[in-house]
Amino acid sequence: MPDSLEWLLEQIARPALDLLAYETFAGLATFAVPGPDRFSRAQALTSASAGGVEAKAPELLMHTFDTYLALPDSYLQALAAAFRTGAADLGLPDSLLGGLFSVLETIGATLDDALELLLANDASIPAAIVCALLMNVAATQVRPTAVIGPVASSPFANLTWAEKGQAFQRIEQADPTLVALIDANAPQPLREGASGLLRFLGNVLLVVAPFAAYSEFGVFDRASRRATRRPVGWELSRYMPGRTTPADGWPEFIGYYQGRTAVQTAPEYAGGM
Amino acid sequence: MRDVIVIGAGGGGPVVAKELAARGLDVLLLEAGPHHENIEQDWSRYENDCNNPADGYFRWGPRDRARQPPWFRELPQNSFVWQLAGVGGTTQHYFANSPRAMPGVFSDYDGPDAAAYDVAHRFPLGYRELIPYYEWVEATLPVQTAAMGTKEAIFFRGCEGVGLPVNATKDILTDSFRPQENAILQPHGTAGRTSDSSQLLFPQAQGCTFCGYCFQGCIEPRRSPRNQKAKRSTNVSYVPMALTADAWAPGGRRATLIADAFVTRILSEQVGGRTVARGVRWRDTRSGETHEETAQVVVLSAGCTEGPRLWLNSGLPNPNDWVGRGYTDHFIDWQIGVFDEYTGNSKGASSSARADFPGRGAIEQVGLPPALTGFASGFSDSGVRGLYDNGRGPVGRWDGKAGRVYGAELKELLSDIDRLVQVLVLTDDDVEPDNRVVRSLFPPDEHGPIPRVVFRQRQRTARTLANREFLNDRTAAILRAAGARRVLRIDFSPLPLHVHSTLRMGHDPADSVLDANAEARWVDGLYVADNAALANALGGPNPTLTNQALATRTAERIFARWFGGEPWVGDESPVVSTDPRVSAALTLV
Repeated sequence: MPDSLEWLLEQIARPALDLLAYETFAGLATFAVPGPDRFSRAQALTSASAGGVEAKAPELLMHTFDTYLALPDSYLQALAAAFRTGAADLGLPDSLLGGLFSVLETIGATLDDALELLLANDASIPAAIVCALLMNVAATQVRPTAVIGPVASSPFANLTWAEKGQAFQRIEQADPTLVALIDANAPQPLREGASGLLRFLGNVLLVVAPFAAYSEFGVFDRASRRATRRPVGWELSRYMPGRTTPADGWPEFIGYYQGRTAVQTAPEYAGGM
Repeated sequence: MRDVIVIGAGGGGPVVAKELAARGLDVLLLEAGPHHENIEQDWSRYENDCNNPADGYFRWGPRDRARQPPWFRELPQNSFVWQLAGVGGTTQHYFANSPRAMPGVFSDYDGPDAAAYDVAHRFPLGYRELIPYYEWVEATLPVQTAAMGTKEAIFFRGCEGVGLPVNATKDILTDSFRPQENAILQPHGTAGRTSDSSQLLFPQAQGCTFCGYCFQGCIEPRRSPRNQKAKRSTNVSYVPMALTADAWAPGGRRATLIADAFVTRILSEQVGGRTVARGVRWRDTRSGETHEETAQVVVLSAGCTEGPRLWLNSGLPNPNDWVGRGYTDHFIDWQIGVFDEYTGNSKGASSSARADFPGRGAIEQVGLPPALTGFASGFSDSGVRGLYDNGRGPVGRWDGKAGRVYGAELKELLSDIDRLVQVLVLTDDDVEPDNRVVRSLFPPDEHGPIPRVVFRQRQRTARTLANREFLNDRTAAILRAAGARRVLRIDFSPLPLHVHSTLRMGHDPADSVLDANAEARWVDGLYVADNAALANALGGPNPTLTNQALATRTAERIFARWFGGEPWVGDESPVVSTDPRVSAALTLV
């Protein structure tokens, strides 16, 4: 990367990594809840009904991890450096390369160059990008050719559904190669807890994904704090058919078991001390 | 100088505050999170808006969820600690299940199965001694026998099918099932009989309306006074009583509540070679200002994770190194039964049916809306079903290996939320020193060093491991007997929803932090009144009621030792928290 073009790369480095994060989390959302979208097609497991992508789970996952993993910037930078190979060999997104930026394509600038530039400039790296880099590192360990596929910015999203399981198996089981990446880059507390951190991240990524897909987030208006239409997850689960707002109650009361409405202390213990 | 400062307005702290305010003491109650006073407006009950750990209104973090991040805690394993800031603490989202503990975990137990419990860590008091305190709290909240909906009827059908007897008392005497004893006002009027919101307003509707949102905060019935909401979280029961004590207790004095006040230090001094608690320092989470107040007695009720953290950050003595150790969590697990009939899984109180197995633990039926069912289906120590099992993936009466339900199988499972019956497994787990809270090496936050919560999930005692498998076997048998077409076991990772014993009371000074009065062994005037004070995991029953009964007893002990008072439980009649004098006085607070 010629120094004279760094200013140009800086303009699109963050949007390029945001796209990497989005496409990776879309790969996670469809791993949890497949649909008819291109990310589900990329994993060779689709579904006729809407899935995680239509529910806007990727957007919620990115927001959640950016906020929930409130680690210091220096730690997130260290982890991003550790997982940097998760962006290796990936080109800059075509959608960002028009006009003046085409020169970056000409000289072969990559997502890795973008990340390197941000790290060199001490820029804050959102936790969602760190998580996405981790998933992509694991993905390239499962199948190195996943850097090439229908999803340009995410090897993880190019894995088959079963291969995604292999990637998460590596994360959840704290594969020594992933631990070594953290050990080589991170400051002491992160290094000491590398395996625990990987197990924690693996579990929390996998558990928040279905929560996000079945939540109201995709149609929730934060100003009025109401859903503007039926959430995808409500339709999928036939939850409260026809409603867009939580109900105040249901005619579900059918009585008391054996008609008993109250019980007392057992005779064995009546009378206290 | 105050008489008493209580740190934390969760399940236990407000009990001490209310009881001592009723005795006329000057009580200051501090809460790290916000005080939601207009809950009908504040709590939307949408799952992500509420339960998202990053910015839901039920999160562990400061009031401003749009601009301030949550308080990060280090979890060095696959786990999730569901902490909750705000007046009411975790009772804001609890299911209000209020069973008494297993008698076998107390010092006076001599039943034939006495050896079946965590015998090394029994309570340093008798079960019989606690019963009057149970009865006092049960009358105050109040605790009532839960009504049935469809999901409960199906669960009971399964229990009958495996030959379990029904328990028709408040106490757990033998393997048995029963409706929950819940801190929920049961349905009256139109409640539970309609879905028409216009017909569900107070006073036409009273008690539980079967809305299905216990975990998103109970606001029903709408337009009721704050202290007459169906679910008896402390923010609508004990806190209102503490704030209005002069209105309903002869000689009572209103407690002072300060929310958004994160306590960063318990102040102490040395007197005659002893450490003595003198007060607290807290940080206003909105302004960042620091404040201090002194008191004759300090009561720590900050929870099982934050309590040890505060103790250690305050530099208080820890000579036996048991502060933060012995973290018990019921080693919980989850099963889902799929039925060919309507179950009403998403409607009604979240849990109204249970079965208890003394010496083993308990199980309870749980109903959840879809996103949380997705969460529960995805929270596992056994990988993803059909793909990998992380070296676990136990098999049994359930279908296939335990593990996360993902992809096409998850879509199929969740294709009709109201054809599921879900069961929470509550293991009678042993107190173990290596499951613990320590101070993290991560950078401190604005309140000091943060906690690191360590669980050795797979290295628990043989008794604990066996109990969890026993309960899972019984759960699957009950679901099958109820008619489940499929039964899935998730094999949860550590998810401490029920937390206990990190500042435990005990017989043995070598492995306990508190004496039998819940006073710190090495700090005079410092008491603990929350689940951290519990000696053990109670044998499996949900802990809040026992926490509150013990906190009532602790309040009596404080009053007697430091203020020359007499005990009242057993001699007086409790005032119910729905009392109209409380309602009327609340309008003036």
